Amino acid sequence: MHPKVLGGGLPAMYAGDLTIRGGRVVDLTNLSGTFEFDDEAGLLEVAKELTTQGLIVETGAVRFFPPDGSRPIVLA
Amino acid sequence: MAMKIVILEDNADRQAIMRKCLADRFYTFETCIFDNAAETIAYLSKHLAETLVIALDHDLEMKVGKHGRLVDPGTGREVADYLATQEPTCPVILQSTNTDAVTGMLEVLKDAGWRTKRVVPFEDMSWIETDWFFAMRRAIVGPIKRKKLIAQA
Repeated sequence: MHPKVLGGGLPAMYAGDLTIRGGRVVDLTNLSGTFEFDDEAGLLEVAKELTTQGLIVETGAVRFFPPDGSRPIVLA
Repeated sequence: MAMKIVILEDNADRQAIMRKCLADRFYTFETCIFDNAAETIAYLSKHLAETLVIALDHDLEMKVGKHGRLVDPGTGREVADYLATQEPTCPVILQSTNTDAVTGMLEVLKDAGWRTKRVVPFEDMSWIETDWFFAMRRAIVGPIKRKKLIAQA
């Protein structure tokens, strides 16, 4: 969803996409062609925040896609 | 080195939508689209190890070559047959309405150990932004490998 809708027009703290299956986050990535976030720590913070919000993030679900186009890395 | 997304698709309109979809999400990777089997095989023979996902059409339109002669671009089956001689390295998406041909491609690839997913085109181009893109995302992001994770723990 566009950040102007989702975040009330405030600057994005992080962006990517995720899949929720059976109530669990089965993948969480930094894949956003608009924002192109490129730090691993930020994605881990997103996973932590989702957990804080009560979602279960599956082990192995946090996938970081490096900006150089190399293979994705499983962060957590 | 950037990983590759390799696509065999001869329809220019489809190619354009595929490029747009991939650029939006998978901008870090190199998207290589070919309109004939021979060039696809030649490219894969050099870059298969750096390829994240392959998407194959089957039926390809004859092309106009030098001096106005028609050139046979081959079929997706030729690429599938080539892949079947190689060690599986990535998922393969099959995008064709030609069910008989796709069945043959699925068999040859599965027998060789390749992970496959069929996408059936529908409603002109609308399947690309929905079914095809979802299949590509799934192939690239990948499922959680439970056995591997348990083994690592």
